[in-house]
Amino acid sequence: MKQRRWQDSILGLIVLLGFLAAWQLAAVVVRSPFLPGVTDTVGAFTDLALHGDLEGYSLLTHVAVSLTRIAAGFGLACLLGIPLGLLMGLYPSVYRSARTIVEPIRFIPPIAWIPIVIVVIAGFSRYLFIIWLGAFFPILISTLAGIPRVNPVHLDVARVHGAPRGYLIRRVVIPSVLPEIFAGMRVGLGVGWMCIVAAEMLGGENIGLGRLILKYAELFKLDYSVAGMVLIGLLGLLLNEAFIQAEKRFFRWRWEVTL
Amino acid sequence: MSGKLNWMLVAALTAAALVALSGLYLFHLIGPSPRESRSLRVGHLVADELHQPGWCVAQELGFVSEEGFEPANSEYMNGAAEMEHFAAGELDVAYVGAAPFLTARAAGVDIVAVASSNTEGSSIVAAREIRDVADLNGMRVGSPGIGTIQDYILTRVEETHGVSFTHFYAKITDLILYFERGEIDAYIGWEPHPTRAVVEGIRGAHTLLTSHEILPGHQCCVLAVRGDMVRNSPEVVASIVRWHAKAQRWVLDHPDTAEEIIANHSGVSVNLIHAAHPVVQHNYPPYLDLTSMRIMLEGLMASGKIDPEDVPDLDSFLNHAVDNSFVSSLLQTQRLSLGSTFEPQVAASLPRTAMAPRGAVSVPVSR
Amino acid sequence: MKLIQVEEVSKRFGDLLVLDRVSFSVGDGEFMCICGPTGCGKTTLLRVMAGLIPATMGRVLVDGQPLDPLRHNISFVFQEPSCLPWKTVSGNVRFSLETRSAALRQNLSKADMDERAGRILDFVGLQEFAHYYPHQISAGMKQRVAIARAFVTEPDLLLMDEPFGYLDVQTRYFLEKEILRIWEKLRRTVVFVTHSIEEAVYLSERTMVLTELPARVSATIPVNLPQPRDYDDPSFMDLRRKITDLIKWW
Repeated sequence: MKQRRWQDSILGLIVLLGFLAAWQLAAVVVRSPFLPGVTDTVGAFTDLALHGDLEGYSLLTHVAVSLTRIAAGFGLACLLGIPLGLLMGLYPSVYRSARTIVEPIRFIPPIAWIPIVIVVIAGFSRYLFIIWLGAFFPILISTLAGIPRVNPVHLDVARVHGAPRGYLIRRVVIPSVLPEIFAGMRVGLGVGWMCIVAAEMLGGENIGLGRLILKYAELFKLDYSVAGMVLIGLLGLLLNEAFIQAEKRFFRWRWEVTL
Repeated sequence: MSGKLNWMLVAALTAAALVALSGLYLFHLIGPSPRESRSLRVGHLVADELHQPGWCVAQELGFVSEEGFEPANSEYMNGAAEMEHFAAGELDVAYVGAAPFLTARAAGVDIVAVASSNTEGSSIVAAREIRDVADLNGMRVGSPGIGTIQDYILTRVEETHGVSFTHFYAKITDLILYFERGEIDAYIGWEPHPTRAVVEGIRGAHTLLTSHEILPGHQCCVLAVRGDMVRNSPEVVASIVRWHAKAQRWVLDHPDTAEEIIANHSGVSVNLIHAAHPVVQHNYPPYLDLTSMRIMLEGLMASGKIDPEDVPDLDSFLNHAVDNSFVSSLLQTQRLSLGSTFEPQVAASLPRTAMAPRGAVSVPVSR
Repeated sequence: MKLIQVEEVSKRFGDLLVLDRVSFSVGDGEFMCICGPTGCGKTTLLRVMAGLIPATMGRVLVDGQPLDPLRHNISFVFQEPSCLPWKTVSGNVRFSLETRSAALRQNLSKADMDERAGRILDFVGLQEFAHYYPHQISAGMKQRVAIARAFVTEPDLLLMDEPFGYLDVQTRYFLEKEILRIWEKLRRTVVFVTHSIEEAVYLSERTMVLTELPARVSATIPVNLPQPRDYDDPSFMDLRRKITDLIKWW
């Protein structure tokens, strides 16, 4: 098993190096000032990390600001999505009546909301709303779809001993659905994270990773923009991994011991 | 085992080939070649017809078709966006601010400015509580984009007046919204957007400073064309400059009708255009003002927007970026063939005189 | 020990009549098996007796009172694996105590519940695995957990629906001996449904035979063989044959 792990890591490393080589090759072949190569991007990243950006904001500030916005939007999405999902799952009539509104809204991409958001909402709430839009629906849908999947035998075990409905929900339904809620949260966090650039297109102060990308794109410094992109990707990956590790801890009862 | 290895190899090679092909296609190395017809792709900024009347006036009055072109117009939210599309090969002609033009040129875009569209023409408006520049200290001032002239002017104001404020970035058309909601207390933009707040009386808006008071006679919008057109088809560029110059002249001679055309294209009222008009200078002859462009270039480099390594020699850079020769040849030939139609003369109908170009590539144009 | 009476219970699903006026009684800590042709409604009968589904007609009485899962202490061991996967072995066993306590608003103390669970796990020989999760133990062990969970509440009626049906033959033999051992010690009333006639004769004090759909009581055969029983014993095989003849639909 350990040997397999090493093998996977090495293969992964080879794929990564291959990709970087292909990228650098593409940059050299195309030779456009607007396609930064690997070395340009690394240089830009180092510059940002050491000296901050051209307006004086440090890279840490950008990261912290974006993370705050995402945390707020994601948090709100969980707060609303999980209870609503449980409600709709347990009471299908609620879901059926809400569908006519929820389903169409679900398919409007967050970017499309930007003009309305600018006019109707103010300040930090704008970012909150756009991120929330991305994160909310996966959480809602996973939660409500998980409920019919609760094993009826588990419910029967409790019913036979006289469990009232509330007890059934708290002690059987919710623990059963929890892994799926978590999976939905992980997807929601990912989508919310991807919305950060859309949200930060709103303008305002030039801080945030999405803003960083746009800022340097306006100045044709695409090596900095790509450095920002890479950072966004890496941070998203880290968040996802953290979530998976948390899932593994919480749901030991699901995973095979050998993993 | 070897059979399986063969399949894997074939699959990997096919995948690599597909990726390479897609890459080549994306980077225009294969695929359909650019059009060669007389169509002309002209870019301009949104609701900026007051700075950039040339294209719409020339098209309205048929100057463009007289030269044998079929124009296709594209609109952009700010100069930086326009330059990005220009760099991607989507435009032949761009009406764009000098600052984004310089930034693009420094980044390696093959673009050359061949005529002036306007000088000055921006102002800072502020809410009634802000009586003078010192009051801007610590405030949030709206700007249409980090690569714009207006942003440069804001920085200049900070330096010359010793104040410091936050630049709040938003689309030019959104600035007035943020201003109205109190998220910013002042903003700069190209006219007529600042004057609009004054005319509509939002928060007692008043003009705090015009760009004339910040950097007199500064180059604002330019007419720029693809570098390869200047090198390989100068006669095409000459035609472009001709319809542009005719339009500029016409605007100066017929200010009222021009305002109507401009108002029509910008989608704003004639009153607003009329109110904002005095702030904007359509200098004639439309020489590009190198002095102010040099100052702007230094400012852009100082604020880190342009890398000094991209501009080792400022003067050499400017001389290659700016080409006033088309304007001078035009004036020469027109005077010889058509008499006084294109005489360089001071426009009588504007309250301030058009500034004479300084440091331009000089060809004697005395009367 | 309470007396459980099934009075003229009929169950209809739509047009399909599954149970047709089934009547019998059981109690006093006895071990009764129910046999019948495949698909005749044995599970349905058991579920009605557990209060999981209502009878269409007739009723089930516990000591003269209509059956109520809340008031009466009933346990059920299901055929399919029923351990709650998110709870450990001891957590599962405690679950029935917790549910009972919550349903009756009794507030049994945690220490009390831990103690009772520990004792029964010890008794069934799973103490070592108390902190294991169901996915880490074998199918046979999972059913032993379910059995422990069913017994720990000291029920008035313990229903078992072919609990060894999904297990291999060797495990079945082992668990048949185990269930007898547990029952002999704890002496609760057990109603055990099985399609294996051999199993019924091995375990029960009497075996009730049902007819095919719609199910009625065909006969009730007392099994008076002394424990431990021997599958090869002639009287054992006699009873087997007798019951098989009653059931034989093939």
